[in-house]
Amino acid sequence: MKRQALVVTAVVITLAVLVAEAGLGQAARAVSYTLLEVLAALALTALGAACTALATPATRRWLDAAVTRGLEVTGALPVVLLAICVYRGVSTSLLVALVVGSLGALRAARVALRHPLHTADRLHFPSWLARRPLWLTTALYGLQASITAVPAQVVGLGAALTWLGWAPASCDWGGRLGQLAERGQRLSLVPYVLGTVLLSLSLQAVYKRWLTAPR
Amino acid sequence: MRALLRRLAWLFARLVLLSLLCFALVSRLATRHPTPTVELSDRYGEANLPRFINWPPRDLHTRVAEQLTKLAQGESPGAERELARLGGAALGSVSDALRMASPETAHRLCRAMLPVLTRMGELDPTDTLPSNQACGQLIRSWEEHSRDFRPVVARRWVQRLGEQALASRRSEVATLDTFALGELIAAMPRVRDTKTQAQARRLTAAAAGAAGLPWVIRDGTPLDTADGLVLRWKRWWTLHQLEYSELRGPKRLAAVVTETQYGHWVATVFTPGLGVDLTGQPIASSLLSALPPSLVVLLGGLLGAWGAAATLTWLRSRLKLERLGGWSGRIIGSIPPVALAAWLAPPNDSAARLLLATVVVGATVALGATSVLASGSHLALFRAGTNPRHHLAQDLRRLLAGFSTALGPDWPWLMTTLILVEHAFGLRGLGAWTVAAVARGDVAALMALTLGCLLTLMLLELALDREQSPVPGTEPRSPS
Repeated sequence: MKRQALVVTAVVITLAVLVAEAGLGQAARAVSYTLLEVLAALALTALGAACTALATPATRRWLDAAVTRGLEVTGALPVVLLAICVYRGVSTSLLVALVVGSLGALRAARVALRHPLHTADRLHFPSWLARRPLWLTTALYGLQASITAVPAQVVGLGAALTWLGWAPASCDWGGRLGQLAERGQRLSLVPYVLGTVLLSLSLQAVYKRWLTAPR
Repeated sequence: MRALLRRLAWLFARLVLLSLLCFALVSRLATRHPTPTVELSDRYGEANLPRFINWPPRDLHTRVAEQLTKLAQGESPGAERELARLGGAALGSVSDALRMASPETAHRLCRAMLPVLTRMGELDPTDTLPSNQACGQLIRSWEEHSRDFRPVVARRWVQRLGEQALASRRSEVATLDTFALGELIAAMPRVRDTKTQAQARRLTAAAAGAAGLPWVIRDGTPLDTADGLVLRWKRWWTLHQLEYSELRGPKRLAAVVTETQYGHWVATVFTPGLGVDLTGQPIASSLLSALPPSLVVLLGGLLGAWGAAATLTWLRSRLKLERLGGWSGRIIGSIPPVALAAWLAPPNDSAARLLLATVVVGATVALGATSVLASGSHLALFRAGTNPRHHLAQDLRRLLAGFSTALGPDWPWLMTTLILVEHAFGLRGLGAWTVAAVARGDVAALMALTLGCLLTLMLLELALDREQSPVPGTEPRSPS
């Protein structure tokens, strides 16, 4: 209870500082854009894991080879360089969600291919999930490795693209963070960083509370 | 031994496949800079080529035929300019076409070739020749010089010019115009001293006259700039030689693959210094000069993070402090590294800047390292009740395997952090080098970086001989 109160207080303070820093309209837009980007990236990640559950044994080998090559290609390129290579005038928000989601999907697919869930494993998940199809369980299982990192990656990539001047600044936290970093306004970065940390911890708490059962 | 060879062969095949995939991505950057200038005409030439398959390859013969068709259809200033650019190399084909052309087409053809005759020294630049006389002059010049348009003659004359810059030797080579370009560029030596500089100066002047490019070595040009110009000529020739030569037999078939953007990049990989970037600097040397600060930051950060993670794991296991570092680690892991880099003010002292950059990079790796070590599978080193010395070699190997396991997926993020940290702290390392290469749309330079990363990761994998678990469901069935 004490911890929940602490988190709620932190969220309220962060939002208040954010509104004071950027104004109500811009703050609302930044929060909604960032949430959408993170959710889109997580959805792509889950999709990557789910695909492995739908693959037949014959296609698993090919899928594994494709995922491995994909990981090797993305491994050789810094993410920010990869993003600028695929950038073709789409919005920076979409680009960021796409790149982070694709990398997460490759990683989740690799984990799910190497350590697949079986029907019996669903018992370890909450009761509402245990009766659902295996691909859904696998999709949620695939999120486990990314759930903490995705908010930081989404915000970080957006900020990096803006700071380096490689893509126009978006309305989200990443775009704003990049702009502030470019101008050297260090103190103004605080609410955005705090917001990212809180978002990350909240997602993790939600995942732990609703999507995994205590062992 | 056979297993090792098989493994190396597979690594090579993977390297080729991955370089193809990476090139497909990285080469998209070149088209973001669509405005060609003379200075960057090597990129212009590259961007005009197909990426992987060139079918049918357009050689000199094809290009001349295209321009002749255009001129036969009517006035075409573009076709005239192109024929003038192709120059002496196209003279034979043009003279042949002249015999069969209608009077109007012949008139346009001769007018197009007038600049070439001027470059060859057959016409005075101030002369304005009437078009009916231009054809006569063109035919006379070709009849007089056609025997000289042979590779052997071009090689001998270029060699003589390289030895001494007499006016007669200059005019000999000028007579061949673009036909001598291949020999001129092949004869250009790498500039190491004043002797090679003088030789390169004579040859670059002749090549510049024929190709209409400004890359000339002058009297006061420094040696390294002169060497860069020579490399730029060589790179330009690899991109444009097809425009000045004809393809016959197997060469035509090979050109389908070699005369592509990827084919040219592969050719530069096997040239000394990995070819030149768009500023004319050898890629290998500029990459190596940018490497030391980045290596310090990367290795320092990685070792520091792994040292901290190992200490933390040891404390947790020995002192039964299971919650130690849990929350703080998660919080640090949730902070975007870009914010850390932007937050910390860059100090004036360069050593302090390097140290701070190392700390930021280390902080971004620490969480991954802690989770891998905390999983226990890779850290038998800290097992209770066993003598660590008995297992040291095995445990160190496991530790390294854990290191590469954690590093593999995080590598692209780590490199991104490196770029940003160097950008924030004004370090002139790989990050700054990459940012500059992206700004130029320098595909060759960025591919060199990508290839370096690929090789590093592959060699790490080979050295650690990481065991890969088979994909479940794909194991070979046992005979029953």
